[in-house]
Amino acid sequence: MNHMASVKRSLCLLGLSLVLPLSASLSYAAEEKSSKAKPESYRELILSHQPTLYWNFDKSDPEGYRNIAAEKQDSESFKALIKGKLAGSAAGPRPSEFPLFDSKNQAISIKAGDGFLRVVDPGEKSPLDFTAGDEITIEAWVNLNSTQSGRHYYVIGKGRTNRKGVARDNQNYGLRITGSDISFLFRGQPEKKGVKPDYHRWTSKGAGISAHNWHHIAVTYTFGKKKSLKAYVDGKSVSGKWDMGGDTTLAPVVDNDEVWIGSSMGGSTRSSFDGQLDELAVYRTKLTAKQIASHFKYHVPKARIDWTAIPADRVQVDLYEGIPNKKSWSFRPPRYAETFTQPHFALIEIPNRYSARGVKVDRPDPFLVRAMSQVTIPKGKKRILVRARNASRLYIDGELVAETGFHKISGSAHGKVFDVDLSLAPHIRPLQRGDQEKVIEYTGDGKPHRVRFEMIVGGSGHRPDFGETGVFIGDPEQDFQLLTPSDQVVMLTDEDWLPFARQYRYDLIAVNAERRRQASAEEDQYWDWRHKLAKAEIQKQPQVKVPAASKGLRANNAIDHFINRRLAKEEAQQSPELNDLAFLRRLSLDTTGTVPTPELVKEYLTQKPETRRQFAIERLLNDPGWADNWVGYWQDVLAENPNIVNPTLNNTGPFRWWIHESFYDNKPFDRFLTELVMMEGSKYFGGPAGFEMASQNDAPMAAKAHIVGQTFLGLNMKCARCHDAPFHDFKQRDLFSLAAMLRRSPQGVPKTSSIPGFDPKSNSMLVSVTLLPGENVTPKWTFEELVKPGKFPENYLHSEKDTREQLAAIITSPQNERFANVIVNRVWKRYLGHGLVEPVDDWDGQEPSHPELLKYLSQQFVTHGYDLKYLARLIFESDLYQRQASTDITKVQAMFDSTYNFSSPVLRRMEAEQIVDSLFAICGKPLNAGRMCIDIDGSRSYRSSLDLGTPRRAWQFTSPSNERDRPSLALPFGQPFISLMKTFGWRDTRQNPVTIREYASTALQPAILANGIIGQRFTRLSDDSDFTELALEDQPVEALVKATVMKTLTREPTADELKMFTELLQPGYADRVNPDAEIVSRERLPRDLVGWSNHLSPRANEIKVELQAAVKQGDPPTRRLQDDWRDRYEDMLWTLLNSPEFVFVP
Amino acid sequence: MNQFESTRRDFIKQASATGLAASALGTSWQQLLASEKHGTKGHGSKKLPMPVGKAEHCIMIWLGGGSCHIDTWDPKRKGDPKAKKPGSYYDPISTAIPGTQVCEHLSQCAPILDRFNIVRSVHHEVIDEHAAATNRMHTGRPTTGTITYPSVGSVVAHQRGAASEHAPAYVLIGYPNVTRGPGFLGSKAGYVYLTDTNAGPSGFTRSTRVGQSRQDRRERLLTKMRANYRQRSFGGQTIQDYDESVAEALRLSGPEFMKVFELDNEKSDLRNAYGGEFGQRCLLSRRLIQSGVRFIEVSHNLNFVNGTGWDTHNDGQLNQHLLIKELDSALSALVLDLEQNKLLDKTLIVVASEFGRPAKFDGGGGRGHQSKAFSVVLAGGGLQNGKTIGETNELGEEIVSRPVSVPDLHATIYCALGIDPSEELFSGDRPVPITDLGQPVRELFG
Repeated sequence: MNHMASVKRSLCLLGLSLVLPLSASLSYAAEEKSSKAKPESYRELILSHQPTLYWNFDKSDPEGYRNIAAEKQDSESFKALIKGKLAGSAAGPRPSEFPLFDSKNQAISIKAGDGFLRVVDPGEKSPLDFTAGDEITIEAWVNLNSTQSGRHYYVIGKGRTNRKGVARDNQNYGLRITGSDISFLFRGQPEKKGVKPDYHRWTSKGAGISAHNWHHIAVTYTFGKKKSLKAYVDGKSVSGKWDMGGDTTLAPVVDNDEVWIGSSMGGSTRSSFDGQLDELAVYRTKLTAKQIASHFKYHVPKARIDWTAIPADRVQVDLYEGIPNKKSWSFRPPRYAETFTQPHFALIEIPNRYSARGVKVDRPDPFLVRAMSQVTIPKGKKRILVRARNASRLYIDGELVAETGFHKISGSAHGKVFDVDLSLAPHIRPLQRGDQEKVIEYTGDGKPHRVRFEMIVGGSGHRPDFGETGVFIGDPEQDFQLLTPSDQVVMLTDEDWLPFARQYRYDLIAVNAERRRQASAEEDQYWDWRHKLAKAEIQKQPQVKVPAASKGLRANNAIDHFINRRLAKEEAQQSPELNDLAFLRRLSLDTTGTVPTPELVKEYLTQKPETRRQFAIERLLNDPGWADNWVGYWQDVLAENPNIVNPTLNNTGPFRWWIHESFYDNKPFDRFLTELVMMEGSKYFGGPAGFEMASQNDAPMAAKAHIVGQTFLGLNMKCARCHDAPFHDFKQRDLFSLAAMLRRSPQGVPKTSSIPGFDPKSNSMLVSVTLLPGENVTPKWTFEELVKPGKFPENYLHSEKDTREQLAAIITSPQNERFANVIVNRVWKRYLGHGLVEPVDDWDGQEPSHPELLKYLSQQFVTHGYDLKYLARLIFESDLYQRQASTDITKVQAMFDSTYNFSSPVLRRMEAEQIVDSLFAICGKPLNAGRMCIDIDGSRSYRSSLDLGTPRRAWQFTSPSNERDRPSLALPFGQPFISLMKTFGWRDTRQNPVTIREYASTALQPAILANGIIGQRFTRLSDDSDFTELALEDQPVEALVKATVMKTLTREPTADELKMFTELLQPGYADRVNPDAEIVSRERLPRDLVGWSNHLSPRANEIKVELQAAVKQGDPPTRRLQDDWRDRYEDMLWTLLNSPEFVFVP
Repeated sequence: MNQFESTRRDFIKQASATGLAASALGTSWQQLLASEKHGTKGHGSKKLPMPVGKAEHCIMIWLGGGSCHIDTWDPKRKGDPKAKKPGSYYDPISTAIPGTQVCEHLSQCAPILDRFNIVRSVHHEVIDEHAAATNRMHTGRPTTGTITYPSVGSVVAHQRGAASEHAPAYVLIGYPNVTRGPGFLGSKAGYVYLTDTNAGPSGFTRSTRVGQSRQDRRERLLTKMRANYRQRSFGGQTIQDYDESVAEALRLSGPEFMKVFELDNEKSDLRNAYGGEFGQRCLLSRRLIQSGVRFIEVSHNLNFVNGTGWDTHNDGQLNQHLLIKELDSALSALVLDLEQNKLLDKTLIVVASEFGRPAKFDGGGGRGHQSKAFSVVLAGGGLQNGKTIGETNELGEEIVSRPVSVPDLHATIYCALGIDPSEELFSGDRPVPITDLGQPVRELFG
């Protein structure tokens, strides 16, 4: 089924209704009357205007398409010959939408880079040539697959083919589409010799050509005559300007180069058309505006919304695509894309879209969102409030009642700071910067009404953000509440809105997982099949035999048998077993990244002792925190390095979201690698395409090859970027061959990828350089010592020739034991503190400490479908994992002549993220870290201003990137988190991949816990702290001490501690509660008032300094506890936090 | 054994395997290559020895945004934004260095300029973006994706450590970012930062809610908890190290180091001479040096003054003179104060920025970016002060003589501090020279 057909089918099936107004031009076109006899078809209409060249693409032969403007119908003159391959014929514009055509009208379909059409120039002064004084009209119908700005989609051009034997840059004329605009181009012929010729380029502004829609485009021009260019889209004139080389009287260059249709410049993808093309005509006259208008006729499909299909208590949200990138509501009915339902009229974020491979993809930009529901509006006078990030319209019973304007904030940084305006309602949540609002009065009658809200999302390069879009209702002078057909009440106050928004975003995680599952059902089957093949392959290999039990040594599973064999041989002792609570704390940190909750502890302890640990393993492996706990690790390893403002420091896209999704789904690891290497999906909003980016890096794929090699194959090629690795067996060529595979084309060696001052003529003894700057290295797998690529089974690769896919398949092939070994070893190291092979990211010349065990685990990993949780469970269940960590890394590293025998796990400190997440899980406060975004109103291009959202977990933080040192660009709420985590080895920017963070102790670590803002927030008994609630409970002071120690350290207090803390808290304990005290609500802070767009205003700095002071002030203490007693309980919390015990994994 | 030692071991193993003479091990690989470049095959036999300066401390004043050299240290003929005439925005004045002029708003530095060196010929090729150029000026290198390079401050902290056990090695008075960080050198070479001189550094400043008696109570409780844990845990080195850091943290956040931040103890005349918040940062820098801090970066880009800070596009130009005057009073006060305290010879002051700005004015009367020629100012540091290095053309757009690259500038700073800029550091097993072939400006050394 081709694309257009699918669109039409969905139109019918869904009974799509569209009530969008049409642009004036359409009615103009419709009213056009012809005085002549009416032509019977579009073809006759065009021929009646006497084109020189006209291809209607209805009939082809193997060679190509005839020019039907030729006098003789069977003439071969100016035949458009197929070069490469076309993507087959496709439906052209057809009725009923395009009544000028018949229902069988055909078009050609061009896939950029695959092929195009060429027309041979018969020689001097041919009808294909144009020079000064000549008039020209070019017109075509186009239906593009994409409208990327910055890309030039060639419709037709003469010259600039880069063919051998003709001059380069010989563009006689060229008609392209760039973004949503028309671009006309030629190279001027200077009158004097020796003058460098200029390109002359005219570009329209706001033409509004949209993807996946048929548009008619035309240009008329008299060469050599200024102000003579006119352009038309859909029959209507569009304005524009000569934005390169200027308007000119110069003639264009003319030679005998070919005319190419659908491509230019050697057929490169970036200069090719991408989509369907039809009815291409070139005239040697200038058609009039009237004539051109007559070539476009459009019929609006009849449409209606099926209100009966909308569930009674839900809001149905439909998304539509194919709207033009311009600030106007005048466009053709867009294409229906998706539907989901939700309980209310709040649009702060919507579910993601996923590709058939299950990776996040961007929606076309812009798109239209429409939310509809039948809502009972109570009797009496009401106010309805619309808040919207971009242009929006609210209809009640089909009548337009409120409208907000298009996004209009300038990104110049000189904007104003608006004061908080609370005039609308007593406790209103202030309007967010970048949003607009409109209030109307409405008299309700207690009956249901059809409410429909529409908004255009994105466009003009802005992030497709929602801000705090929503429809609200309230009584006059009173507070508003979110409009909903359900019973849920969400008031538009900070108090209600913030937890609502937090919960809404959290709930979306599960919604998105379900959408991924649905989108990629077929892909899942493909991977199941691959895992069957892999299993069969492993079973062909000799299986590792699990050793028999060693006498006198504890063992839970096969892991222990392998470990014990060596322990027995060395007569080494196993370290003692961990107690149940310490085990739970370790396991909880290793799975969810936080210490266990009191609820889990309680449930755990009620289980029978023999099954307790198994219960915890099952429960925690299935906790969604599993994903959160893995993100930070892979961010480091894969050098995820987004930059929220102007990415120029080897920055990537924020593919952290893809990492999170992958572990949320427990994605098989071979698939994880494959998706990473394929780099598909969304680049700026969290798909694996973000990995492809490396801003300001002159060989990005060399950087990525380095990461892939080190992460998944233990090949450390960091030195190979610039020269052959002196301590390894790698040549620079190896790295660049891999880079070329990722690049899908030869990789050049940039100048900077060599040693400064190095003279290639005289290689030193230590380093040698066998590649010279400028050399091109072809895509090739050069690591045959790991695996020799054989032939893949049929249908194993989606696209056989794609070197990226080949690379992913080679790395993940079951014959490549290294891949599974490296992953097993990484997981092993993470849970047991030391690898079976060290270092885990550099295997060159290293031997495993337990080769059989490694092989066993790898075979298990592969035969169980590369399932990381399966592997983790094996480790968690082992006796080894469940032992006390009575060895530390200094001891293990001091072993020069032997490897570690794993008599115990190696002691670990909590990761930075685990410290932060645990602190907030324990005290129960929200992170309240503010947004990881400078461009809060979306005024800038999304390419240079990411929004990484409001952190829910520690991995979501990022560098504020305030290289400008401006207070106004600081992130006062996030900075304390960032400072603390950096102190504990987390990196806020990751220019290079790192597997093992730094664990050296510095004074700043305990200092920042003791005195820093985060430590203070943990300690402070404010009204949002769980410890405050705990202290208010009616219980003996000993019970409070016990509960507090359990909550913080997952254990009972020792007798000494119990005594010490009881003595501390006993005085005044009976009178600690102030029974009448009110909850302390914090003074409203001037948050969210400063973004990039106003950060140069003096007020912006003041606000940020004020906020910084407020952050320093900390959470306001509760009044419900007596101050003196509260201080002492806070001191107890401080003590627990600052004991070294807190930061070590038991 | 840490990573560094392991690489040394590998290196030696490798070196002997490849037949490198033991005596050559001390010779850095970079110099080896450099000597090859110059056609001398011997292991650096002809290379000039690096000068060894006398400075013990460094204060780097960072003019974030790109300070305009022709409106400050390298004045040219006057221009006029309204007439679109390129040139300086202010009149020049004479200085204590015969033949060297500076802009009229540097009137307090001018008479004592014999304590300074202006390097007028610094250059690099990064212009389009502040972050990338800031990174270049701090690390001397572009980003590559395989390694994160350390900043000058971190290299100094790594090579020389703190001058006292009661102080950290590297303090940043400004916003933290990666370009100022330790890169592959790790957190021990990182900074302690503060953004407000009244507040003290994050981490070492106690909450105002915690008075001494409460702190004593806390420490009493903690001492017991720590002892308890030491007893119950198996007592490995890792826990011991951390436990010792707890003690060190308590010491650093105690009165001895924290009193450095009590600027109220300074005479009010002196405080006034330094000026506003930026001046107080400079005053604090002197106190930090006295307490044993090795390297201090002081940011001067509080864009309260003129809207844009030193990034004087458009109307940022109008009040640029206020920024310059603020710099002038603070910098001159710092130089004289250090001199008074006999610290000027031991303290190298560097006034740097990510780039300069062109003589042409933009549409709004301000200026764009220019990295191919701009000025960096040095003062004190035991250098041969009073020399002006390098020359630019009539509008400050091109370097005419004595170009100084970023690695050369860094080499000068390192040599002044007694650090060999060709020495190699190690990122894992990869040797990375402190500068990429940087050569110090030798005329500044005795």
